[in-house]
Amino acid sequence: MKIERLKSILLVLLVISSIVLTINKWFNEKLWPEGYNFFSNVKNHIFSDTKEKSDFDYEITEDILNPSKIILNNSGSHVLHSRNSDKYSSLMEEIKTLLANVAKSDGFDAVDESEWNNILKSKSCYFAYPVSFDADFFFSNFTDEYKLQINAVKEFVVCGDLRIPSVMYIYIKDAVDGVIYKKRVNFESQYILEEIDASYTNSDEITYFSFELNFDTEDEQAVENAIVIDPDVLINISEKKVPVISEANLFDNIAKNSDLYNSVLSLFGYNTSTIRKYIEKDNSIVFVENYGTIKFHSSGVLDYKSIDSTKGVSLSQGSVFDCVNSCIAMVESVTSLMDFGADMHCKISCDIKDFSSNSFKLVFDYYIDDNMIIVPYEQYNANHAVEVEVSSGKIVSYRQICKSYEIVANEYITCSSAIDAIDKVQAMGNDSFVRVSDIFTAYTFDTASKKWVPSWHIEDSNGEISTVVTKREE
Amino acid sequence: MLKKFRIFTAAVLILALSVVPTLVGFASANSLPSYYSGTVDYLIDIRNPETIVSTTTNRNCVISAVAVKGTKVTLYAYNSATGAYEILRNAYGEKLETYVGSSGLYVQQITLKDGLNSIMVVANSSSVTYEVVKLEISLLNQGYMNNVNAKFRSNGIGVKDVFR
Repeated sequence: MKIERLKSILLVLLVISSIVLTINKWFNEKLWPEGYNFFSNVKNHIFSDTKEKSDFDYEITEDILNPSKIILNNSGSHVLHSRNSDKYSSLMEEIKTLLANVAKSDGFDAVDESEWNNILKSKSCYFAYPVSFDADFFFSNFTDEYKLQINAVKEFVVCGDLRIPSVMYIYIKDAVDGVIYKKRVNFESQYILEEIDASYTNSDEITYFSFELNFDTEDEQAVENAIVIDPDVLINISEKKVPVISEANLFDNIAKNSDLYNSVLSLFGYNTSTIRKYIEKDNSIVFVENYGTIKFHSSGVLDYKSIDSTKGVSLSQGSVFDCVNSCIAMVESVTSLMDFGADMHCKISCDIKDFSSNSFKLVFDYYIDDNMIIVPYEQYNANHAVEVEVSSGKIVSYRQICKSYEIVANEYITCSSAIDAIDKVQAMGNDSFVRVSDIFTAYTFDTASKKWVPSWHIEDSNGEISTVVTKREE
Repeated sequence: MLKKFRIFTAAVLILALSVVPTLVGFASANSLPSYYSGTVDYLIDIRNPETIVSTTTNRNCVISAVAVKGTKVTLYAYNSATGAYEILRNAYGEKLETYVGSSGLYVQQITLKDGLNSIMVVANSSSVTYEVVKLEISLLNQGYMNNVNAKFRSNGIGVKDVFR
């Protein structure tokens, strides 16, 4: 009887040890079928010492939402300060405090466009964003209190009062209905006023707003104009010297760069010790988890896809705008892990509207100074440097080009004046009437030199963009 | 036979002389008399300055216009010493003459001298088809502006309020 009992105990122990050893073997050597990760999931839930994935924690982002250009106007002269300018950050610091004051106060007056135009022609500081922001979202980045009746913000101007140094005026153009709102604010910024005064210089680049040249109206005079340019478009009437840039693939040797891919995996909430990976023939590295895959393409693209739309990376579960901020913070966090060039920065490229639900798509692009790097669709099958899809508060798709762009020393392209560029576009077309909504220089890839060169881009009122290729400087 | 040859040569010369100006373009005169006027009024519309007579405090003045494609636009300034309009030149000594492109848009920045500036805009489409627009632009000097500013400030209003 005693022997029988000992046998039973021994048998039970053997069965238990065989199960333990089997599990051990399974988890250590990942002995499950391709694409099936049940055991990893079980292990994560039972044995993992890490906490369950939490919402993506975020802090209010600034850089990605800052204006693309700040223009100091002084008696018809316009000096542009873009992201890489020394004065850009100082001006932004000043304006944040002013915006916080503005958001808390009500009593905005609607003014007509001529007053807005006069302010842009006289001593003022103009802030322009690449996209429009819902006003609630915009001001929530500066203050918790918000009382304004404005729908959306894309541009605003501030100016001082000649008689009272402690008073400033802010003019905000509503990006939805075009109504211009004016507000007197008790705010003293000696710095902004001094910079405006100092901006009256003979700059190499001569720029005017379209309304100053009266190119924004279709006058019925003797000569019919084939082109009308929106009033706030800044027209460069002189040549513009822009540096050439080169690119470097940050995923050239990604399979051996475990620090980088582990950091990215952690951001996406993956357990780096248990996730299954494999390396493809082209040295791309793929990580597979139960409900999603992350692929580091050796061509320089980071690609995350959730298999199930309910199982993506959780963003903030607060309001819709919390979720948007959380998504932007995620992009900023991934971007900060990359060894990007010092001159390059990332900006949002789609309007932030009052999204009705936690499902939306955000896109971003890279810039060098105020020149966007235009993503070649045929190469990346994408129109933007970063594309994020959010469904029910979860990132279900994330795609980012991970290439570093840097200015090539002493290599420049001289872009002709904006008027010459419009002439070229018009000559290429059928000379039909066009309303121009934007004129800007941006980088396009030159296949011959394998470098990025600046060229003029002209956007019409239908959103169609024409590119004018510029000649390389000899 | 010789007579026929002379007639033929003369015909060729006349033809050549009539074609040459259109091939090489019509050179802008360096100076034009103050009474110079155009032959047509459909080649150019000046957009800025908005009026024929204007006043500014900005030494850099921009002249913008919409013109017929292919028109050559040349700028002249009145010289009271010679009593004639003289062609304006840029910092490199090049004449301020521009052929208007397909967009029909024309822009040129000029530097004003203190006081009255009489500017003549000449738009040519051929040696016989040209339009002339004369502009009177007065530049108020900074000293004058400072005096006006101080005067207004002492009364509690700024110049900005006056122009607003």
